Formats: sequence, structure tokens, C-alpha cells
Amino acid sequence: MSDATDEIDETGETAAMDDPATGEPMVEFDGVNKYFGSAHVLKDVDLAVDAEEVVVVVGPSGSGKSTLLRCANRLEEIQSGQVRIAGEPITAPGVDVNRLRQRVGMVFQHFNLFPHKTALANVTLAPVRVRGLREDEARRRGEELLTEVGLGDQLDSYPAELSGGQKQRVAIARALAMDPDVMLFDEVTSALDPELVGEVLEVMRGLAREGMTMLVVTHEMGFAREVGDRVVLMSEGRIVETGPPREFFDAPETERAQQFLSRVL
Amino acid sequence: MGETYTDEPGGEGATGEGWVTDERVRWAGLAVSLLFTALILGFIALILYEYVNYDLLVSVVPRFAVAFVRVLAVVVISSVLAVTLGVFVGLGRVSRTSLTHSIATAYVQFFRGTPLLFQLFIIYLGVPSLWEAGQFPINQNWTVVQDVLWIDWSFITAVIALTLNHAAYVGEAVKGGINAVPEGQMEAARSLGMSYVDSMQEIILPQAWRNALAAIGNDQVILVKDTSLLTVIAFPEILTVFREINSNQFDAWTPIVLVAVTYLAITLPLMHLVQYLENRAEWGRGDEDEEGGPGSWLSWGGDR
Repeated sequence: MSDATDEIDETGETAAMDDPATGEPMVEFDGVNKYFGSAHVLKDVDLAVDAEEVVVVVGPSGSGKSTLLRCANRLEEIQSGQVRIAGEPITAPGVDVNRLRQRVGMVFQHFNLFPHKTALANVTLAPVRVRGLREDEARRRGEELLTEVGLGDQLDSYPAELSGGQKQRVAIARALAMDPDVMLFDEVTSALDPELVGEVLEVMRGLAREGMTMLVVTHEMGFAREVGDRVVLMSEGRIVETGPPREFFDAPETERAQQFLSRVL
Repeated sequence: MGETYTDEPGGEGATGEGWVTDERVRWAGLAVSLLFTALILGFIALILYEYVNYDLLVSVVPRFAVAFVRVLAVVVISSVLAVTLGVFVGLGRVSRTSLTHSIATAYVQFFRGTPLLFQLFIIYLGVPSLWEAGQFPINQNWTVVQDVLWIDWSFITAVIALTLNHAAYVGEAVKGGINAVPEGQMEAARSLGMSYVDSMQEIILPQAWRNALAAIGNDQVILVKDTSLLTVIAFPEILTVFREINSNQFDAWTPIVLVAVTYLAITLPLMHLVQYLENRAEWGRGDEDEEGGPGSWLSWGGDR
């Protein structure tokens, strides 16, 4: 624990952390290259997500969009370039990755809830374990968050007792419990029954409205258009087009974007 | 077990031609198991009626009770130590630090690759011979319960050898249990900022434990039966008592019955304990997960 605080002082980035309005982008990919063996899955990717911005990444399967997201909290290592969280490079050797990950919430396609813990325990575990929150404080905050995502009556349910949509909302609450500066959403509705997609998107819409910085990988074009501040199209490991949703959907510039949209819309 | 799979759909004409139909297989299975049960029960009745000397049986019960206590003491201590050590062996086996991994692997290979009897000899005979003759410090008995339980070099050897041997098997079970936890669990824990150690302790190991419980329990039952080898290091265990009575009284079946009862008195409660622990780990009515967890149609009603 003391290591972590030392490191904050050394890097002198506390200002950027406390005040997102310093102009520093919240998440910044800078010339990122990523290989899986010989497959080049991210090619010179540059992308900056500003504070309170909602950036939606779309693209065909295998275009590297999930990999890009997973590089933002270093679940994947990159081979060259840099990823910065509020100005702090998370990819640098020797960086305290556990400390930086606390600022980046992530929600997964397959929920990845902890099956041996109740909904509430899923939410309170990391705040107690990592941030040293008192048990009762964490519990109060957890109840608050689960109520916010509409699960105030499922606190003591185990993941196996919840529907897909409910699981995903617990997963969102779990990520929010760490008070992250940015949230990553990795195809969070792709594994849901169609009638359960709406309840999860509704929670995400609410978050965007409250000013959460979000980087969202999705196939939900309606959501991208309605909630996104910016849409990014990836294809074969590159960002091929980026722009406000209205322009992107109504007047795509590149041929690749036109082709993609003609298939998905 | 035999009835587990018979309710499957597709019975009518599923195999079409031939006389092996689901229906016939079911009846054949039932007939064979009933016949088998009848034979065994008949045989047991014959033994109990004709071959067991009940005066002798009553008179030797105390000797089996004493062996039971000694074996139980060794089993409980070794089992607790083996499972504890086994968790660390399993962690070593999944370690990405190559030296740690190699050491854990070599450990498992040695203890699984050589006979337990040999391992008993290494400790029982090999270790004392590292001292000058007569200088080995552990040569007395510490009496725990007069004439029932005492701790001497054979007792210590038994605990060490059974622990080291079974920790290797438990380690493999734990390793399998860890590998069966979906990768997303570690990713979710790490993405919350939890350290590797915290994630292992809070997230991976509890699930690995559940996955490995059946195999670990199985190994503990084998550990109980492995105590029969302790007779060669002069540890007075259950079969030692059998052989004494058998050779002194020229009676086989009376002590055989008591041997069976004594072993089952340890193994049956153990199996129930494992079953209880497995049921307790059914977090919220089990694992019908989208991710294709272990709870698929294959395990319908399977009460192993």
C-alpha cells in the first residue's frame, strides 16, 4: 500500500488525477502496436478519449477493437507505443499497474462475476481488499450502487440465480464501486438474450448522462448513434474512420466505413 | 450410476436396427446388478452364519479399536498436512516463474513416480542411518494415551511419508482445479486492481477448491487405505492386528469382518464429509452458466 502512495508522489501526477479538466486526455493510445505471435492485431493506433467523453468503437469481428480496449488496462501487453491513463503511462515497465487499474473500470462480454460471491460481495470485494474501505462503508456504497442499477432487491443473490441482464448490471456496479475515472465496456450486450439488452444499455446511458468517461466496444449501432460523442471504426487493426455519430452514420467518408455501415444497418 | 443416463430422449428407434435397444440395456443392467447383489448378500450371510466365531469377534474388538485410533490419528494429521501442502504444490505447478514451476513439477514426478512403500523406507531406514549408529535422536516413545496411542519414529515416518506422497496427488488435483477456472475470473479480479496474490486467494482458489474437491476427497480415501503399508515399518495398523489374530487363532473370517468394518468406519464418514463440502460449494443452486461450466447434461443426477 505504501509503495503505491510513494509512487504517486514520485511521478507527480496527482494533479492530473484529482482534476480531470487539466486538458490531459483520460485515456490515450499513442502509436500502439500489438502482435499475437506473428499476427499484427493493432497497427499504429492513436486514440485519445477526453474526460466525460463517450467513445464508441465499432467494426467487424477480429478488427482488434476488443484487444484495443484490453490494452487500456494492460490486460494485454503491447509491443510498441504507449497507453496513458490521465497522463500516466500504464505500459511503462515497473509501473504500479494495480494502482492504475483502480482508475479504469472494465465490464466484460461474459460478465465474469465471481460465482462464489453474492451480488453485494462481488461489488464490495475490491473496495475492501484494494482500497482498504471499511466493511460497513463498502456495504453501504455497494447497496447504493446495486440499487442504482435496479438490483436493490438482489443483494444476496448469487450470480447463478440472476439473469444475464442482471449479471451484467452487477458487473457494472462492481466496476463502479472502485470509483473509476473511466469505464471500458467490451461488447457487454453480445452475450445477452435480445430482450435483456435494453436494461443494460439503459444503465450505460445513465452513466454517460452523469458524465462518466466511457470507451465502449459494441455492435449496438443504435446505442453508438444515440449515446456516443464520437464513433471510431476499426478494421484489420487500424482506426479507419472517426467522427461524431451523426456524420459517421449519415455521411461516412471512407469507403471502408460505407461498406461496414451498409452491412450492419 | 446404472440408472443415470436412461431417461435420455431419443429412445425409440434411436439405434434402429439390432437388438441392443435402450430399453433392453436398461433391463439387462437391472438384472445384472440385482443378481450381483443377491450373490454378495448370500455370501455375506453364509460367512456371518457359518464362519464367524462370535466369541472371538467380541474378544478382539478392543484390539481393532486401538488400531482404529492409531490409524485415525495418522490419517487426520497426514490428510490435513497433505491438503495444505498440496495447495502450495498446485500453486507451484501453475506458477509462471519457471524455477518454481520446475521444482513443483520435479516434486510431483518423484512422489508419484516411486512407490509409497519405498518412500516409507527412505524415511524410516534412510534418515536414521544419517547418524552414527545409536545416535539418532528420535528413539523413544512419547505416550499420548497409554497402550493406545504413542508417537515414535514409525508414527513420525508415517505422517511424513503419507503427507509428502499425497501432497503430490493433491497438488495435481489443485492444479487441474485452477486451470478449470475460466480465465475471465482472473482478468475481472485484476481489472479491479487486485494483486495476483489477492486474486488467487479470493477468486481463483475458492473456485479451484470446488473443482478439485472430488479428486482431493478421492485421494484422501486412498490415503486411508495406504496406511495398510505401515505394517512394514512396524506401525501397528489395522491389517497388523488381522495378521496376529489370523496366525494365532487359525481363523480368517472373523478378523476379516472386523478389518472391513474398521476401514469403512474411517472411509465412509470421509466420503460423506467430501460430499457435504461439495454440496456446500454449490453457490446459488449450482453452475448452469452460459460459459459451459461443469454443470452440463452429462452430470444429471450423477451423485458420484
